[in-house]
Amino acid sequence: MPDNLQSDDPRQLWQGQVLESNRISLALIRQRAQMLQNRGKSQALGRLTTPVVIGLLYLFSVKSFSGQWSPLHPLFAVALAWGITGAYFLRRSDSSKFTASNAGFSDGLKFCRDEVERQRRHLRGTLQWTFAPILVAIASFLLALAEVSSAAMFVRATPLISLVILWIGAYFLLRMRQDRALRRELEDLAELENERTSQPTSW
Amino acid sequence: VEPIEAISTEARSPDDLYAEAMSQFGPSLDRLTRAYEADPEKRRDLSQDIQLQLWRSFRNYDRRCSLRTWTYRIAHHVAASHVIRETRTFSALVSLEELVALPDRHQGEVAAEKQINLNRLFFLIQRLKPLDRQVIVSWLEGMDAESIGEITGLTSGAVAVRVNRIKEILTHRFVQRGTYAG
Repeated sequence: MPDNLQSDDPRQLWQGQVLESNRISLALIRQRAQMLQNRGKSQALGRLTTPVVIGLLYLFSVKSFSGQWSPLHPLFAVALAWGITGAYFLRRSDSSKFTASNAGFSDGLKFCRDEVERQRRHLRGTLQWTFAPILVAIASFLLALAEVSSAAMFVRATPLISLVILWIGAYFLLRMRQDRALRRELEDLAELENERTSQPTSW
Repeated sequence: VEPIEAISTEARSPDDLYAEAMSQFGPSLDRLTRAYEADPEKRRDLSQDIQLQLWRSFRNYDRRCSLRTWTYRIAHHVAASHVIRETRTFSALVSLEELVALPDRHQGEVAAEKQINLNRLFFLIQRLKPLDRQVIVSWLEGMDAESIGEITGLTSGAVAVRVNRIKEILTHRFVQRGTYAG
């Protein structure tokens, strides 16, 4: 196929497209940099959502089943400690210095691999440090409910419990699917890197 | 595309380098942003993110590569991150091989030929995985295999294979409409 393309070829079409300019001044860029920094701080606060949710569920459980089921406190203590530790680790990985502006020396292949690996770590971190402690808290709550409530009351709660279990299952399956897709992408990128180490062919 | 040598980077502050990069490659970066994001609002944000990260990046720039390569690398990195984050899962994106099998949404339309072709081009590009997207955008910008290899990290051979696939796909799509004789 010849490389000198005609006037209506895709390259001419591409380069001749009407441009929408979103150019911003240096002052605005600095303002945006400040905004990003502030967003980072609110993200850090957002990481506390898991321990707060567990804490609220704990308070509700104490109010509802206090003194009626002894393993309630240690189970929630485990979930809470897990959630707080997770918030710390997730915050630490958020604040790592990996940004596109620091990756000018990396080519596209290396950057994509690092980014996909980072996404995969983030996904696994979320499952390990956010999803798992919430799961422990929900399971503790349901166990306490099953232990202290009457059969009739438990039957009434069945639709809600089923919904919670469905949500947990769907969330877990979705995340696993994402993880598999990211792993496949990493394998594809690794294959390309291997190709790079072998003899390059000419253009 | 301007020759690399034409851009002197000696004794420049990050602000100057940024201004130089934007004046040289600004329109190209606008087109690149369009290849990565279809939604106009998100595209505006992405474009501003690219500018911010590019400006920040010049603190680290030590002229080991040309200003052009550096600028495109940063822009593609920011855009690739955006795609990976927004798409959530890679299963929604396709490789060049899978792109051949995608139905042509615009087949049968007759009006506004150029706009339709451009839309068709965006339809194809915006479904590609980030690395393939980097190759196709760089090729559309008129770069040669060596420059594309510098930006993407692929070997000249791998770039050539991809560019040929891109040409085949585009020929198939565009010749059907009688507009491309590449």
